[in-house]
Amino acid sequence: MRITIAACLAAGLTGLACTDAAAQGRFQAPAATRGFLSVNGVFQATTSSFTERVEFEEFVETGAIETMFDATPALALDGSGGVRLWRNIGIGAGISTYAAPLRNGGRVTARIPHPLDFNKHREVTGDAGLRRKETTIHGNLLYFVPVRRTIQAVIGAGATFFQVEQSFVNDVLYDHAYPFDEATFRGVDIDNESASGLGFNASLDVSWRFSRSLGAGAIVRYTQATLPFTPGDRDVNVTVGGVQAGLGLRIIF
Amino acid sequence: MRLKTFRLVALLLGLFSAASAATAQEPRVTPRGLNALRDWDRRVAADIRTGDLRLRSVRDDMLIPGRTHERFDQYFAGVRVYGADVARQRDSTGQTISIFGTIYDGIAVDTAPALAQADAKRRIEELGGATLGETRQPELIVLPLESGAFALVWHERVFSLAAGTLMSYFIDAGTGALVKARNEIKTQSAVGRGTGVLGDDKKMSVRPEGSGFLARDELRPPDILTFDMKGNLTRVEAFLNGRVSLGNNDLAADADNVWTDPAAVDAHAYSGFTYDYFFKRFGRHGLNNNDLRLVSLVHPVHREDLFSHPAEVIELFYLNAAYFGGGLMIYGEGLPPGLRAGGQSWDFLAGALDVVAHELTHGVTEYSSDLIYEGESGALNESFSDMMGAAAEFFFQNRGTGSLQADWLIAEDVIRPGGLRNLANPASYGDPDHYSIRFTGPADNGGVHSNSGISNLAFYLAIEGGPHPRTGAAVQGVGFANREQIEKVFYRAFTELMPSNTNFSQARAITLQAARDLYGANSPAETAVAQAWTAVGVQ
Repeated sequence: MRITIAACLAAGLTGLACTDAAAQGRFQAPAATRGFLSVNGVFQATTSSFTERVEFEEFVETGAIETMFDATPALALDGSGGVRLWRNIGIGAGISTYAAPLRNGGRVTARIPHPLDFNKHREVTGDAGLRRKETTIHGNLLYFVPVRRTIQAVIGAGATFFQVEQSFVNDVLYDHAYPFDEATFRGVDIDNESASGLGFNASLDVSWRFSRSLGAGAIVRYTQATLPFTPGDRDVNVTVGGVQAGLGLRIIF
Repeated sequence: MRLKTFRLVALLLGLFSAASAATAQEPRVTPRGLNALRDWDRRVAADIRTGDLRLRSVRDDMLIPGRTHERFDQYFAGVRVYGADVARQRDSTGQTISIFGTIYDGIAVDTAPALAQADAKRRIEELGGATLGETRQPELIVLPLESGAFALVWHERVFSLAAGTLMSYFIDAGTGALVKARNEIKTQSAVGRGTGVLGDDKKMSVRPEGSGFLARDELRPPDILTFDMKGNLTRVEAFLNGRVSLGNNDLAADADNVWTDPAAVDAHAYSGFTYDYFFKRFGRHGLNNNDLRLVSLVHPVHREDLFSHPAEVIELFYLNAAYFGGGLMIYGEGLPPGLRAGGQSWDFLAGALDVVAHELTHGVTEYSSDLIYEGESGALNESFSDMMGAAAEFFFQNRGTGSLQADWLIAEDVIRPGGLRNLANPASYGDPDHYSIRFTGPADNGGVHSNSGISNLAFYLAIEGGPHPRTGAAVQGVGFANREQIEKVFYRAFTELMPSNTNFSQARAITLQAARDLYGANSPAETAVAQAWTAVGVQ
C-alpha cells in the first residue's frame, strides 16, 4: 500500500515536470520565484500501523498480548519554506505535526492462562487507548516549476527527521473469579515511549499567487521512517509517517 | 493531636425490637454507654453540620428491616482525612442505634499544596514505574502519621507488572518526597506446577509461606489442604483420634513451587478437580454445599515399611483410599515397585481422579442423604461414589483406554491392570450385575462394594444404552453426549430425595421422580432410567 502511494506520487511529479518541459518548448517560460513560505492545514490521509505480540508468564503458563494500532487519519499542521538557488533548483525546509485521534487508540487482545488448568486460556479484548504524536522536520532539495505566471509548482525530496511519541500496551488488566473459566477486560497498563530518527520525504507544492507576494497553495507529501522503540524490555520497530495533503497560505518572494 | 477511637460503642437505645433482641452480640445498655453514645451522636451531628463529616454512602440493612447504615468521611478544611470515618446505624425513626469510627482532633496542617496535582502524578508514575491514565488523578488528603503529626499528601495507586505490585503512594504535597508506600495486592495465593503419579503435569494452587510453598488451595472457594504425614502412622492415629491437630508444618511443601511428590500433587489437584466437577455440573459448593474444607492425607505409611505392618494396616493404608468423614480423606501408599496384590500393581491411590472423586462423593453423601453404610443403602452409597468418580473422569479427561483416559473402570490408573470395578460390566470383576444374584451375606457390610455393581450398571445403561452385558436386556440410553442428564438425575436423587435407608427398589422410584422433575414425564431420561433399572432386575 505504501509503495503504491509512493509510486503514484513519483509518477505525478514526473508527469508534471514533463508537462512543464513541453510547455517551455512552445512558450516563453515564466520565471520561477525566488522562494516561498507556506503555512498549511494538512490532513494526514494514510498513516502507518503496527501490531505487537508480547508473551508473558502467568499461572506457570505462557500467555500473550496482541496489540493492533492503526494510526488513523487526522489533521496536522505544516509550515514550509524554500529558496531557489540556481536556475530552478533550490533547497527547502519544513516542519509538521500529527497526533492520532484518541478515539481510535487500537485494540488489544490478551490470552490469559487459566489459574487451575493447562491449555484453557481465557481471551479478553478491549480498547488499547494508544496514542501517537509525530513531529517531523524536512530538509529538501527543490525543483521550482513555473507553470504559469501566477501558478508555480515545487517538487521536493529529501530527508525527514522524525520525533515520535508512541504508547504501547505493557499489560492487560482483567477481572476473574472462581471457576476462572472467563475473564473480563478491565483496562491496560500503558508505556509511553519516544524515539527519533531519519526518514525520507517527497512532496509536491502547487501555489497560486493572487497578489504580488501572497498566494494560496496545496501540498501533497509522503514521509516515512522506521523507528526503534523500547517499551519495557522489548525492541519494537514502528513505521511512521504517511501521505499528507493540505491547503494553506503562501508568501512568495 | 488527640486521637479518639470509639470502636465498640454499639448500643441499643431501649427500644428492643424482636429482631434486635435476637442479636445476642450487641452490648447491653448501660447508663454510661448510653451517655457515651448520645455524646458521640451529638458530636457526629455537629460535625455533619459544619462539613467536617461528609456522607459517603447510605444503604438499607438487609437483615433488619427499617435500619439504615450511613458512612461519613472526616474532612479538614475541605481535605479528606485518610482513614478517618464513621459508620452510623439508625432505626426507622431516625434514632441512632450505634456508631463506630475514628475521628481525629487537633489537626494542624496547611491544606494548600505547593506541589501541583500534575507534578504529583508524574512523581508517582516515576515511583511506580508505570503510566497512569487520564482518569487517574492523585487525591489530596491529610495523612495521620505514626508520630502523631499530620501531613498533607497526594495519594494514588500504581500497578507494576514488572514488580507484581499494586503500590499505594503518599507523596508530600509540599516537597514531593515519598511519605509512605505500601503494596495493596491482597491475595496470597500462588500457582505452581506439579508432576502427578502418572507423570502428568498439573497446576497446583498453593500458598506461599516463608521461602517455600504449602499445599493449601486458596483460589477455590473452600480451603483445600493436603498434608504429608511422612509415613508417621503414629501421628496419623493420634490425629484421627483427636489427640493432635495438624498445622502448617504438616502440610505438603515444596521449596521452588515445582512439585515433585506425585501423591501430594494428585491428592491436591484432584480434590480441586472434584470440587470443580460438582460446582460446574450441579452448582454444588463442596461436600456440605457450604464449602466445607477438604483435607487430604498422603503418605500415612512408608512403602519400605510394608512388611513391618500387620495385614489390617496394609489393607487400610497401603491398598485403600478412605473417606473418614468431615471432609477428611486418606490415600493409601500403594505397594513398592515389583510387588503385586491380587495380581495387580498398586500405585499411590491419590493418583487416580476417579478414586479421589469417589472418596469425596462419600462426603457429599454424608452431608445429604447420609445413606447407611450397610446392606442395600450401603451399596447405593458406594455406587453413587463410583458413578460420580466415573462422571468426573469423563468431565476432565478424554474418553479412551489407558492412563489418564476416561472410561467406566474404577481406579484403573493406579491399580494395574484393570482397576477395581467396572460400571459397564460388573460381572467381569465378580460383582453382581442383577438384583436376582445380589450378595446377601454379612461380609463387607452386606456386600456394599459388590452389590454396588447393580446400580452402577443401571447408571451406565441409562447413559450408554445397549444390551445388559450378561442377560441381553435392551435399554434405550440417552447417549454418551447427553450423559449430563443422567448424571443430574442420579445426583438429584442421591442428594435431595433419598432417605438414609434407601433400598434398590426405592432408588428406582426416586431416580424416576428425579428424571420427571428435571426432564418431564416420559422424557428420554425417564425412559432410560426405567429401562436401566428393569434391566438389572430392580422394580
